[in-house]
Amino acid sequence: MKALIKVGYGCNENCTFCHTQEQRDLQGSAAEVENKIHRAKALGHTMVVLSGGEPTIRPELLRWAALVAQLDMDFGLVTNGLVLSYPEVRERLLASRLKYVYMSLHAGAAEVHDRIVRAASFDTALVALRALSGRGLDLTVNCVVTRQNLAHLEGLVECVSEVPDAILKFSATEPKGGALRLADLVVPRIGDAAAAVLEALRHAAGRMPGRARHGGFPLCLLPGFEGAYDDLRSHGYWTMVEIGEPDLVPIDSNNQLHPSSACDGCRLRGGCPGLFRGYHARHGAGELRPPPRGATSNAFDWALERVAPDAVPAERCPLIGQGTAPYERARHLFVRHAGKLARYRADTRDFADSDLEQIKHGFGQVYLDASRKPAPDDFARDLVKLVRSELCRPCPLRDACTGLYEPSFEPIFDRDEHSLRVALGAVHGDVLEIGCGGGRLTTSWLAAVAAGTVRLVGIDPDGDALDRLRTSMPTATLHLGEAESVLPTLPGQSFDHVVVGHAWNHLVHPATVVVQALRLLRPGGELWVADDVPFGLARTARQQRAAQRSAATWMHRRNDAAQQAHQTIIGAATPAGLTLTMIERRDVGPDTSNQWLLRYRWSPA
Amino acid sequence: MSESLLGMPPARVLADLGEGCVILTVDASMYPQHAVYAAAYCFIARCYVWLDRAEPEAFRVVLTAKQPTDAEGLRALAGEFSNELLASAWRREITRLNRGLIESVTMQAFGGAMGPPSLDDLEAFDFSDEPFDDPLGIAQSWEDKYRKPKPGAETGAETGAAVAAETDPQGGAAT
Repeated sequence: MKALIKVGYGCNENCTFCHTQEQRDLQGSAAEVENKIHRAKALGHTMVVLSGGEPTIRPELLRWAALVAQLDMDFGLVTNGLVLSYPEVRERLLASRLKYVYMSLHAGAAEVHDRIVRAASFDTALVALRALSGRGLDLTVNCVVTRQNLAHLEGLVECVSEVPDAILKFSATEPKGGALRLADLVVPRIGDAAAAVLEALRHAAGRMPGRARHGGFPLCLLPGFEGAYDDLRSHGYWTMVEIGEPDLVPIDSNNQLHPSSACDGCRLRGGCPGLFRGYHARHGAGELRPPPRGATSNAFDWALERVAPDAVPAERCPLIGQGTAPYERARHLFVRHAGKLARYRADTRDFADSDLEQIKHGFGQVYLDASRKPAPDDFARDLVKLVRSELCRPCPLRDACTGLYEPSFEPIFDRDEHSLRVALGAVHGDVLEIGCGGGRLTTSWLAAVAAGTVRLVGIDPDGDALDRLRTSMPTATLHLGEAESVLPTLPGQSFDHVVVGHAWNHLVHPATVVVQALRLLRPGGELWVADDVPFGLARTARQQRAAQRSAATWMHRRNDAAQQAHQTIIGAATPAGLTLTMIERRDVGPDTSNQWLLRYRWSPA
Repeated sequence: MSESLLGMPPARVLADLGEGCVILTVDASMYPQHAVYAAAYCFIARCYVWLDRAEPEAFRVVLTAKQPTDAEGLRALAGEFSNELLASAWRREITRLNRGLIESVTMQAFGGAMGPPSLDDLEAFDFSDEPFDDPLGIAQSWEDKYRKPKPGAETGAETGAAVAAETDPQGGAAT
């Protein structure tokens, strides 16, 4: 994993869009940089990447590279590359384990590039780029897309295509620093920029297949190139540190957001950077084009990184002593058990950082996968709940720290499932179950259906599941199909209870289903809706590999918790003149399983 | 009826004895706007203060005494304001000149909080490495190479022309 260490903000160029333009006079001391290199090593990084400003103009450059190599780490640079045109500098850096160069080049012609960087540097940069090629480097050419080079991206493709081992990346301009001061002159509209990048990526697909990327652009604006996304995480960065910051901190995406108006429910959301906050504040989200909703994941993994003996006494926190700042609050997971401390990390792009934060710290849905299955299917037996240590409760760092977790052996899945089945088992009369599947909840009425006190109608799109249910409940009436299609075919029927059990997040059009189902409900009848929120699994590398080989597919169309489902239900029922009274609500929390419940009574006006 | 005050430049300072006010015209190329604000703020207990742009290159400051006053009182107000204006402008300049030092001290304080390298680290480290040669001046800062003002260097007040030049992305280009 890489650490990105800023060495100061002075530079031998002066780009129009520079994010640190107002700090150009601030250079970090050599001692500060060297302390941070040592800290990166202590945390377990395998590469230190220096950035700025321009790190190569520092006279300590070769010394720092040597120090990094001496500490048995690889060395990298985020640079404009100009100093690397000196053969001696290049060779000495390569000898100090230079493995990674992320180099700026903003056009394929001097007159465009030089105007953006306000210096006559294109020719020198090109000399460096060509000389770096073929040296076994992880080499990326980064082009910041501004109004000045918007029409010249294909020229850059031509230029970089001749450097056979270079990746070309197009980056969106963040309105910050110089780009904020000159926003109207420098920052293009995101729709215009994405259109130009899309053309350039298509051009690159022919000229340099598989070697073009993009970063900072909403994925919905680059259809067909969603997988070519590139950012600090995809480059393997774990931490970064600015001048003056006392410790390395995790990279984050707090400067970006997913506007609810466009992004809620978007299937690309998890891996998408969204919009820069500064851009959204100026222009809103009107240029986004989210694709139709599709299947989405409802789980992710924290992969085991290392296990170490836990020598800290049980009544003390083992994290505080080593510093908590470098660990991501949602993506890292520390588990303490039986004299050991395990560190896990989630690299998933199926969920946005804000979603992960909610799942881990809001819902508390953190589990250790104790099974050997590709995908756990018996949660009560397969999963061990992990809960925040009691040591965290009074800690002043509680809300900033990633937290210390310990196993809880409470049978929460059995407890919550049993509680729901008992409540459902108490109902009588005509029951409609939407999404009955093979009968996970339906068997709550096994005896009642046999005795005739419950008359059951079930709907599910899975024919095999219905066949299994038909075997155990031969008197039930079962319909094959999506609820939206089947419900209109049941006129004249009415029910005392409509149950959407563990099917809400699978429905294609939940609001439509709510209205259709409520129209079949008798006065005083009840609507039950239960489903699960997403969860995270702490897993070993072997478990992850098994999961990746499995044929399991995504079944969820959304990941609503009780609150979102409630809003959809009331939002659909009220305009249809259907007045619901909530009579029970069970939310998900750190001391529950991931199952929630909403229960309403319909009382005609 | 406006009239001049003893010892005050009539082109810059006028008094209206009937209204009990003194009107100062401040050269915007000499005094930054923030210095005018700072100086004017010192008078709000004694005067009603009105700031205005008399013309593109000048601020107009009207100090109206809250208590009745004569020509000598107005002369004192004008004089004190002039001195305060100079003090404010100079304080601002001192702050600007010290900015790098303050940031450097702050930065070192933060950096020092991480603790120095251990003796073992220092013993193992080779300090004999020399900086690389830079015969083409590639590693020079942009400001040094193109003889541009250092970041944060201001030349008195911000003028319209200066702001326009800064906001022209090609204005600073050295190509």
